[in-house]
Order: sequence, then structure tokens, then C-alpha cells
Amino acid sequence: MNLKTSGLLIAFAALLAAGFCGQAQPPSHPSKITYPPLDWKVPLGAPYRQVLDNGIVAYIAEDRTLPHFQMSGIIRYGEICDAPDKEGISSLLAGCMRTGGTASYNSDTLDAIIDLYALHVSVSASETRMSFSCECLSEYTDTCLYILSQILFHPSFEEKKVKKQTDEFLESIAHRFDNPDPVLDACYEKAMYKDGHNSLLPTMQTVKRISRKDLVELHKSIFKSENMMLAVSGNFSAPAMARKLTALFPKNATANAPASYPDIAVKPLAKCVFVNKPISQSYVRLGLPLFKRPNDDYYAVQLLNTILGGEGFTSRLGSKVRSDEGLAYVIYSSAGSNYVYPATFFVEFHTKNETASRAIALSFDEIRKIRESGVSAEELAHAKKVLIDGFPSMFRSPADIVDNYADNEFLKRPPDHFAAYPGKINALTTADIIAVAKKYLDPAAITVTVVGDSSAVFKADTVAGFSLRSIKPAVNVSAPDSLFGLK
Amino acid sequence: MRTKRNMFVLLLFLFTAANAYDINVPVTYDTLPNGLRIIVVPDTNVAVVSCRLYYFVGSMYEQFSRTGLSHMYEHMMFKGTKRLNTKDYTKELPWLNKIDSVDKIIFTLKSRGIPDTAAQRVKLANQIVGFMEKEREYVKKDEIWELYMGNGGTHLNAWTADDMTAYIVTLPKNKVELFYWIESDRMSNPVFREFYSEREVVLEERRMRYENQPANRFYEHLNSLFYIAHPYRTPTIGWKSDIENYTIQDLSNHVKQFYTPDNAVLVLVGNIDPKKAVPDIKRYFGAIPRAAVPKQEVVTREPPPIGETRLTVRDNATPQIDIMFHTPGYDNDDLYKLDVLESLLSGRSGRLYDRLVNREDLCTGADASNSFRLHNGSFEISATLKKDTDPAKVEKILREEIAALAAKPPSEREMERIKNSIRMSFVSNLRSLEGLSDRLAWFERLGSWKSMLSYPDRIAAVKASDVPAIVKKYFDFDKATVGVLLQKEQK
Repeated sequence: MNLKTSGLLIAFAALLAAGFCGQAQPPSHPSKITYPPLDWKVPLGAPYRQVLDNGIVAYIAEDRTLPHFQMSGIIRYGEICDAPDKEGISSLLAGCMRTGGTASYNSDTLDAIIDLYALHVSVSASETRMSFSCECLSEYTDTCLYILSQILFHPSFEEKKVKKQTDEFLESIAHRFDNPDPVLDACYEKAMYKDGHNSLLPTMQTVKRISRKDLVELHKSIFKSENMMLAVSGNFSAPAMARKLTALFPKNATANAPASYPDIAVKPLAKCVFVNKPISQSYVRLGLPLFKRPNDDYYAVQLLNTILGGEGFTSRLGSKVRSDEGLAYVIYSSAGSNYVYPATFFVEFHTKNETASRAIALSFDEIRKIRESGVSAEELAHAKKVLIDGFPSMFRSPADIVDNYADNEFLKRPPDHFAAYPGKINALTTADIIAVAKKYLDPAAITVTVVGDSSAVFKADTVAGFSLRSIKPAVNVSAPDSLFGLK
Repeated sequence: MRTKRNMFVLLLFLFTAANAYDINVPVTYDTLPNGLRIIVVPDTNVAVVSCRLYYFVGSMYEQFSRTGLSHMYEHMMFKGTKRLNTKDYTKELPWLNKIDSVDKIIFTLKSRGIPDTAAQRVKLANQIVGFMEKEREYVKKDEIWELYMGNGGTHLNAWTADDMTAYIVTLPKNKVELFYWIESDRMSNPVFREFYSEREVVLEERRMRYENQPANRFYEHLNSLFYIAHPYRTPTIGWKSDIENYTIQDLSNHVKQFYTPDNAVLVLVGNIDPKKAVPDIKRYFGAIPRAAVPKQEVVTREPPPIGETRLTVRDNATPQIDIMFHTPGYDNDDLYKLDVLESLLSGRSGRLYDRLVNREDLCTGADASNSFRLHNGSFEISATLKKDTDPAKVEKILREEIAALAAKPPSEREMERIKNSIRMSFVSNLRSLEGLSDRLAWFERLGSWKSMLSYPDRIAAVKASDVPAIVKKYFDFDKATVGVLLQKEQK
């Protein structure tokens, strides 16, 4: 084959690749791709918002794409509201509402109906809210709504089911520290909020102390129409759905004041909290006090977090600790967003015990660097795109829209929160970022929480210029339970 | 030339089959001349597109000493190409070659049993670190990740299973071309930079997922006992000793063999017009050659078990019992009957929960799971034990419940419950763009994406009277694999 023929063949191959359609060759780099404009705007919540005759605020959206119905709801009450000697009552309440039968159906019949029609019905409790949800094939919507209304407003708390739920709760307490993640979660809360209600754990004693009567009273006081927010979507007519919800969910003005959250402040237990657990990795968090939202610094902190460790591989911590050094599979930072009590900012990673001190030292370095030198314009521009350009994915279905706006109103944010968000992010400058870095990322204020094998960690605590052992004051415990005075 | 174009048009077709659930999914399917399969499902209600590229490779294609390579490459795919993650590949390449050559010497020394503390190995290890520092001068860190995230990417990730590896991102509808660019380049021009640090990252992942999670460690071992011959026994992440000894050459060989257009399917679900998508995909992927040597399919099949296999582990974990039975590979009518059986046993009013949790008060949970797999499937029944429950008692009850199913068909009410449950799962799976992508790819891997749409009809065809026979056929406790996870102090 001569050169001329070869050249012709290459040209022919290129033509084949282009599909004979006169299409342009792909650009030489993705940065040279010209994208068409995105004809999309953040959807508004107002068209879906209704105040039902029973006083409940509901976001209702029709969605005819599939034979499906779903509803979720939020109640203003959470685990941090549990009485100090009855920690765990909100979780137990949630479990017993779902499993303990109702005025219309005993528990076995209730389970049988839920299973027969493939209804997904749940009630749950988290730190600052109780939630409920139901989901079903749309042909069973009326049954599903009726069952949910029974569970929410007419639970019967059958004794045998309360006992069963209590037993299951006690079993879960016995195993809550089997895996390292929940140990770190609990110990970090204790390390950062030593007196806070959020750092208290349900124990065998507090759970056994909860009676059926306690559950009935708590239910009565919090499952009220004015304490509730709904998000409903699916294959139905919106006006008809509003009528059904009005009929099924009673208007029950509370005799008590609406639930209030306890005051909680960040109060570190020590500068280093080491919890011994004989595992091959150390699970580590470096924590700093932040603030309660709303707070004017939040958006700048969110950008700071994205650049430091909030955005996977390209963040500074991911790049240094994971990609360059190969020290961790999981490493990230998180700027807490909490509307009930002051949150914290933390860096978390898991690394083999032998490299724990080294990874902690590197994380301190990155925190110092960003605080002292700030961020580049390129880093900031990228972080802004990360936070803003993913919005279309957040509002992809009617269910997403109503869920997001119900949550928004529950958090008492303005109705234009989502629409205004890009403008607020785009207005921030590198000076704003370094200002919040200086304000919140003070290395001297860091509390280090480590869950790992102390002998292996301290044996390798020989990093130049850094020693975990030298961080004082320190609390060292031989097992997770000990930190909570349980053993 | 003309013939090829006509074939292209003929292969492109729209499939909107109605099924027993009367749900249509508008699928466009195409295959490029180089073997790349394309599935597009338009949905104009959303402003995004789930973009996923699935390679039909995973741990079942890996050899001894090289287990987990597909998962390792799942990580390495983010390390870039000759055009991505690099400032100047021509200047970077000599350093990559130097790293590679030292790595080969280290591997030889390792093979001879020379420890990593030996002076010769320490010297070479330091040499590699020096070369890596030089090479790093030309690296543009994590550019792929930055490009996707900076263009509105969400759900950006990758995952590996026993027979599939997926590279996934969801993009705004106007940015899908970015996916074509990056994925076609990753398919054509991968570069194994930062290999050694990433090998350490994978070891950390293994520590996190298995070494420090007692239940996962238990399941990893139980699965390896269940399959004695088929490579399904290999953990997807690979064995620790294999990961520690990967070389760049191992990875390069693996990639050349499996990461080619004829071993992949590209699935787009969302706001995208198939008439535009298919030519665009052809423009980006059309020139990538097929594998030089066609993929060798795994021929090993699990031999029939000859007796019971039992694993008892004492650890810091919630006690449980798992009993596994061998089932056929795909496609077999029995698999659908076994799916019905799974639903019969599962759920709060399913037979296992009802007996073990509600009536006997021995357990806090009980479940069943039927796994469709290409070659050899599995059916598992399991129960989570209360603290002082005797596992032997639970095992006896599990046997009794299975025996009852072999003796008498389920009631009409049970069949109605089961079919509602399966239909609900089917509809729920269609609600997520990403979930639908995965299901289409999964069925395509098994044989054809069309099976996802015919699944409801196959389930509808199962009768209550089929259940006793299917139980008798597959549920032989004398040949089951039994795993018992007990607390350390439990007798």
C-alpha cells in the first residue's frame, strides 16, 4: 500500500465515523462543545399549594404518567423533643403507630390489607421531625388514604404490638455499635454537644420506661392538623384529592401548645475524643461549631465547603488525601444545615489505623491553607456551577416539586427560596469565602473524634509536626458505650 | 456503504409494547456497526437525561490472582485519557513508562518472595514515588469529575457487579453531548495514571465494606461457599491479596479484552430525542473498533450440590440465619415462579414473617429473595434472630414453612397479594430515570431489554398450582447452603 492510498483510506474511515451525514467531527476537548441554551426555569410551588378546610397545608400535584399515587407528610416534633428520661419515645411511637392496629382494624388485619393491596405505608422519627408516607398503585388510592388516616389519627396501640416494638427497639440498641459508622455518628454528637439533647441516646432503661399511656399521650399532643405539612402527587384530580384529604384528616385544634424544640448549643467535650474499637480502620471527624439557619453566612459556607471537601474528587481534601495519597476511600467535608439548633462543620474520612494521624495532619493542613490563602476565582466559579447547575435534577417530577416545597415551607423559608438561590450564590466573591473561612474554620477550635484501634493508631502517631496524642484536653474511652456512661 | 446505512435505519425501531399491566415504555433500540448497543427512552416531562454506559464485564470474568480488576478499573476510569486529566500527555507519557517499568521489576521481586522492607524494594518504591511526583506535574487533577459536575451533572458515579460495570451521570437535557465526548474518549484512550495511590484507595474501600462490617464479611464468605465452581463466588471488589498485587499490565490486559463497544450498551432515559441521539452517538462512538479478540464467555456452570454446606460465624453482629438454594440461570420459566414464591414468603403478612415474628416471637425479621442471574441463580430465605433465640429452632420452622408450600398451593388471596406486590414494584421501578436505565441494561445483559416489558406477562402466567412443584424442584435442604451468624457469646 502506498502512502497516497493509505491517506485515502484514513479519510474514508473518518467519513465512516462521521456517519455520512455531513456531521462535524467532535470538538478536540469538551470545553469546546457548544451547548444549546437550557429552556428550563425553577418551578414555583404556589400553583400546587392549598390550605385545606381542615387547616392542613398541602402541596398537591397531578401526575398522570403512571398508575401511581404517593403522599408524604411532616410533623413538627423529633427525637430531640423526647423527655430526658424517655429517650426513644418518638421512634417507638412511629413504630407502634404503623404496627399497633387502628380503631377500624386490629393489627393483623391492618398488615393483611396493607400487604394485599401492596400499599407502602410508613411512619418514622428523626432528630427534628416526624415523617409519614404512603404510596400505592393509583387504583388503590382511596384504600391507601383511608389506611393512612387511620394510622395517623386513630392508632390503637395494641399492648402486644407495643411490647413487640419495644423488644425490637431493645434488640436494635444492643447492636447499634456493631458497625463503625453509627459509632462515629453518636460519638461525634457527644464530642460536639456534650450537654445537648441531640447527643443523648435511647438506652435499655429509657425505652423500658416508656408505657403505652406515654405513647397515647404523645400521639395526641403532636399529630394535629396545624402541626402537619403534606406533599401529594399522582394519578388523580387535584380538586378531588383536596376534598378527600379534607374529609379524611380531621381538624383537631390542639389543647396543648405546638411542640417546641429544646435549646441546644455546640459545647465540645474535649479537643480529642478517642473511642477504642478493634477494627482495621479509623473513622475520623474533625468538627467545628457553625450556626443555626437562617444565617447570612450560610451560602458562603456552602461554597467554602464545596471547595474544601464537599464535592467528591475535585475538592481539595479529595484530591490530596484520596487521590494523591491513597489514604482513604471516603473523605469529605460537610457544612451542617440546621434550622433548629446550631450545626457543625466537619471533615470525615476512614483510613487504616496506621495512617490515621497522617490523614488527620493532612486535613488540618488543608483547613489551614484555605483559611489563610482563600480560594481561587476558578475554584469559586466551579463551586457555583456545582451548586446551581444541578437544579433541573432536583425538580424532575411533580413529586419532587411538591416534596421540595412542602419541606421549604416546613423550614419556614420564603416561597421564592429556590428561585432566588442561584442569584444569592452568584453574588458571592472570593473575599466572602475567605471571610467565612477565617470566621468558622479555626484549626485551634477543632475537635477530633476518632473511632478506631487505639494501639495501632498511637503506634503510628509519628507524623512530622503533628501528634494526635498531643491534642489536649483529650477523652479516651475503651468502648463506645463508655462515652455515654452506659458501661 | 449504502447497505450499511440501510441496515442502520432498519435496526432503529420503536417499541411500545402493551403488557399485562397496560404500561407502555417508548424504547428506541439500535446497534452500531461496531457492536455498541443503544437504548433511548424519551420523557419530555423532565429537563434532564440519565446517561449510563454499561460494559458487560465484572467479577465473573476475572481470573485467580486478578479478582476485582473490573472494580479497580471502575475507579481508574476517572483517572483520565490521553486528552483528559492531563496538561500535556506527550510530556507525561515518559514518566508513566518509567513508573511502569519499575513496577514490573517490583512485581518480579514480589513474585520471588522478596519483602517490601528489603533494601532493593524500598529503593524501587522510592524511585516510583519520585517518578510519580514528576508525572504529577502534567496531571490535570480529576478533570472528568470537574467537567461533569461543572455542567450540572448529578448521580455521577460508577458501579461494578458480577457481570456489569456502569459509568453513570444525569445531565441537564442540553448537556448530553458532554457524556458522548467523555465516554467515547474513555472507551478509546484510557490512561492508567495514579494507579498506585488508587490501588490503596480500593484497599481502603475493601476494609470499609468488608473487614469492618461483620454482616458483609459473613455474606462474602457465604457466597463463596454457595458457588463452588462458577466465578459468581468471586467478590466484586476482589480478594485483598489480589488487590495488593495488581499491576498496570494486568489492568491493561483486562481493559483491552472487555471495554470495547461490542461489549457495551449505552442507555439514555429522559428528555432526549432518539432521532438526534442515535446519529450523535454514532458520530462519537462509531469509529471505535471492536475488541481485537471476541470476548470469551464464561462456560463454567455450577455442578449440582452433593450435600449441605454450612457456615457458622461468631461476630459482633445481629444474629441471623440464611439458607440458600441453587436455581437455574436466565431464561427459564421457573424463575418467574420463584419470583412469585419470593413474594409469598416476604412482607409483614408473608408466611415467614407471620410465623417467626408474629406467631412464634423468635425473630425481628424474615425475608426471601430470588436472584435472576445469567448462568446460575440463587434463592435465599433468611431470618433475623432475637438475642436468645435458638437458631436450630428457627431453621426447623423455615423447613416447615417450605414443606407446607410443597404440600399445598397458596390461597387465591395470597396470589392476589403477590401479584399486586410485583405490579407495584414494576411501576415503582419505572418512576426513576436512573432505575429504568439500570433495569433496561440489566435485561439487555440477560438477553434482551424487551424482557423487561414482557416480565408482567410472564408473572401473570404463574398459577397457584405451580408453587408446590417449584418448591419440590428446588428446595432440597439436604443440599442447601446454610449460614448462621451468631453473636460472639451466643451458643
